[in-house]
Amino acid sequence: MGMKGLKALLIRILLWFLGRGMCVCARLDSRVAAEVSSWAEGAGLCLAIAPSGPAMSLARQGGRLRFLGLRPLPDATLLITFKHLDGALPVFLGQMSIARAYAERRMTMRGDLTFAMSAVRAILVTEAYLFPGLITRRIMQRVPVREVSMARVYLVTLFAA
Amino acid sequence: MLPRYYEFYNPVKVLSGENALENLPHELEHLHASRPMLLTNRELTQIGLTGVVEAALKSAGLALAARFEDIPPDSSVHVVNAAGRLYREANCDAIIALGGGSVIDTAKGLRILIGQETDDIMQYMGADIVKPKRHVPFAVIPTTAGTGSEATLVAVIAHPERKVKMEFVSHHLLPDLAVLDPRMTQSLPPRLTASTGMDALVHAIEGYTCIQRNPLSDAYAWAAIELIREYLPRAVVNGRDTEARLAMANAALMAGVAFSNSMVGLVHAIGHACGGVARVAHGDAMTILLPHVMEYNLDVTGERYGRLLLALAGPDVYAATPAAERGAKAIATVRELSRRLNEACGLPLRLQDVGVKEDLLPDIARTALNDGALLMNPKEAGLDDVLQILKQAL
Repeated sequence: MGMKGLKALLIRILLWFLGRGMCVCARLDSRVAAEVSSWAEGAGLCLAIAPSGPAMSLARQGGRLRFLGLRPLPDATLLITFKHLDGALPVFLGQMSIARAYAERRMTMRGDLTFAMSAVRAILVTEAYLFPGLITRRIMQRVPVREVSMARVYLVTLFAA
Repeated sequence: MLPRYYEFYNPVKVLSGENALENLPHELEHLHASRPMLLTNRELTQIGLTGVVEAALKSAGLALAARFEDIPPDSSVHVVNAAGRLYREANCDAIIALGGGSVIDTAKGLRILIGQETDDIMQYMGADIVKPKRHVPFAVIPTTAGTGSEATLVAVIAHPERKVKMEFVSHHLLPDLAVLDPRMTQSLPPRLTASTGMDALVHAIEGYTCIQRNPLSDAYAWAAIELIREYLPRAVVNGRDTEARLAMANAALMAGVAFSNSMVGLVHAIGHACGGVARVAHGDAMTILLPHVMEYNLDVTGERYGRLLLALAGPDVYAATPAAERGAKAIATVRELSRRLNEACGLPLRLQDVGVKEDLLPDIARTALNDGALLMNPKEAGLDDVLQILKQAL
């Protein structure tokens, strides 16, 4: 496996944690729960890497946020596509905020940009659980305070999302 | 300091000056366009501006293949579709937009419709996803000096049934030509001249301070502010001042280039929400909110505001102000400009002046949080912050 393959694998792992982590936070954190409850039933979010790299999809189904797996979602309400692996990696490693990534034109967005703001807020809160404060303080001016422990979110993400 | 990475794009050819319109036929010919469609609104036809454009085309033997005037202040997908039907029926090969933000946004939507060879522009909603199948020559003749839409990559078009404001962000929306002819803005009343001019000022100040700023967008923003400082009060006091009108048209375009490449921030996020929730005119909202948002941002971006004092107030004030106080002085200078315009033409200074009641503020604040411009602001803002700004502006 070459460097590109390793990066793709790493992003798959990070996307898996982010996707399942968001679903867990939608159950355990009031702010993510509030964001998801504002989404229309069936609303879907897909994060993907161009041209045919890893992808991860989530959707609100049955009133809950569900992880649809590491696959694209063709009819997503919002499809965020990073232009290449190297552009995406710092974002999923918690080294760059989504706002900064957008400012650097690292991704395209297809769909409802209003929905994007809600999705971004949910991702930011989730990142506060997935990454230690040392990392999140570098990309957020105000790191969301955790309502439950990081360990609990990780445990549920790994075993019971 | 250079950003780690940035992109800048401005392919718009600018025709600026007295009788600039007379050069439009030549430019259209170079774009291989011979059957242009004019998009405008009835008010502009009634005051004779459409006639001026038609005469300029006719002087070079060019006639409009179609004219579409049914464009309301808030354009919608239905308006774009109706324009598209006429464009195809009349076998047009170029778009000329004559008007302000709504007309230009409609023209941008039409360009997507025709360029993508589609009947549904909604599938192209988003950022950087438009890939036209063919080039549609596109000229814009702004009739206000504020939106800068003649040089921006953004269009907002409502979809009434789905109750969404569709946002399109693509460099394919940038026109080929922008025609800045002082005849086109001379009839703009003082109050509208002032509010659209303040809109341009906000584009420039936010463009200079938002997180996507870069050295090239800075240069455009700076040049715009210097022009606004000198010419906006003159254009408000005397609408027939051709030099001032032309300078303001240039300032609005430059500010448009700036924010098209650096994006706008919290003033726009809250201002859009004021428009959506309380029907506050965009330029009025910008005027009212600008100093309050600058106060909010000051601790993060005071150094940038401090630099802007030179463009906002001129070298004497800049030199006489200690470095540590320049950011605050820049805000005071903006307040002073608003106050002068208020005295000159009644430009509103507070949200209550434009009919906003306190009980609407929470709704406005919640709406502002879903505006993408919020992400580009140099200082993060939450619900409480926005609410506080709104209370101060009330």
